[in-house]
Amino acid sequence: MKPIYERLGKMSNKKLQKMADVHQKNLLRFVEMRKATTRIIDEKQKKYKKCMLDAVKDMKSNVPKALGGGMRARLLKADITVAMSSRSVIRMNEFYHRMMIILIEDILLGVNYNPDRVNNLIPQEFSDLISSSISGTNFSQFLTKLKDEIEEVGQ
Amino acid sequence: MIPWFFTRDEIQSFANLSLKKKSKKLDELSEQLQMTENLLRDRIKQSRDMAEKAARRLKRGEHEASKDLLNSFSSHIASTQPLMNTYVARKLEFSLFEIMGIEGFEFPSALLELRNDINFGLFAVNSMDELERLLMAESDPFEQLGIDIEESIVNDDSA
Repeated sequence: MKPIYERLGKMSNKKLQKMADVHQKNLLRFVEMRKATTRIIDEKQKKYKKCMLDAVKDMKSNVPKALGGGMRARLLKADITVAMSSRSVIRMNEFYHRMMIILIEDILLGVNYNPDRVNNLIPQEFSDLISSSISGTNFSQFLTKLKDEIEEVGQ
Repeated sequence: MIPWFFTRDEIQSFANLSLKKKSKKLDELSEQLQMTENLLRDRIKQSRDMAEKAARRLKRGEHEASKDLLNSFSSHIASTQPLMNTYVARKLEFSLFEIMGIEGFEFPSALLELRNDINFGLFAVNSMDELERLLMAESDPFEQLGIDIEESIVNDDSA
């Protein structure tokens, strides 16, 4: 299959513009969904943190009560990991549409592409997206940070 | 390579459904997910009740009764894990179908054509077994709290 910029380069300006409009609408849908998912993650993380902090306090005086809190934290953590995984798919779609818009706009402006151009396109933004997705599912890192925070509060 | 989760027949066939059928399928999955979540919440509530009862008994100096309840709590946690795995798998599937229902959804193949270093989180598992192993191996809140359930029971016993 030919590289994407080659395929786009063969299209008429009118067709490219129409295509860009469709990608723009799709991009907005995924941006909204990503924001909504991020809000859910933030809310659940706050609840999880509170649950764990309460459990840390209970640990000092009442271990069985802390165990009860730990059970609730389990479900919250499962929800967080699922939401983060979903967000990585939403981000993938968001990035795809944004990238297509940029490619189309550049082609319409007559920007010359080389084979590495796509990979190097908006590298900082993309690397942010990727690292956020990875941190979203790197459980041990995520929880180690949380543990450190809990220990700080406990001290 | 496209993660296995996206290549499953049910995922692929959902993409080809009409809007009406997609909506119907989402309703069915939502109902199923809700039932699983309710059951899971019930079990968690039961576990918390046991832990809280154990706490009250311990406060009253009834160490044996507290130990009994903590033993029940411990086995309750073990019985909750398979349900938790099912819940996560169903929630993942439902979330993906919801995303797929958005106009303009593209399968990973569209972007993997451009970049191949994308992390798809839990969707990157190669099988349901792997998902289960991942969830089982994941650090546990109890571990994060420095709680060893078995040890807690022994300590209460010796108190």
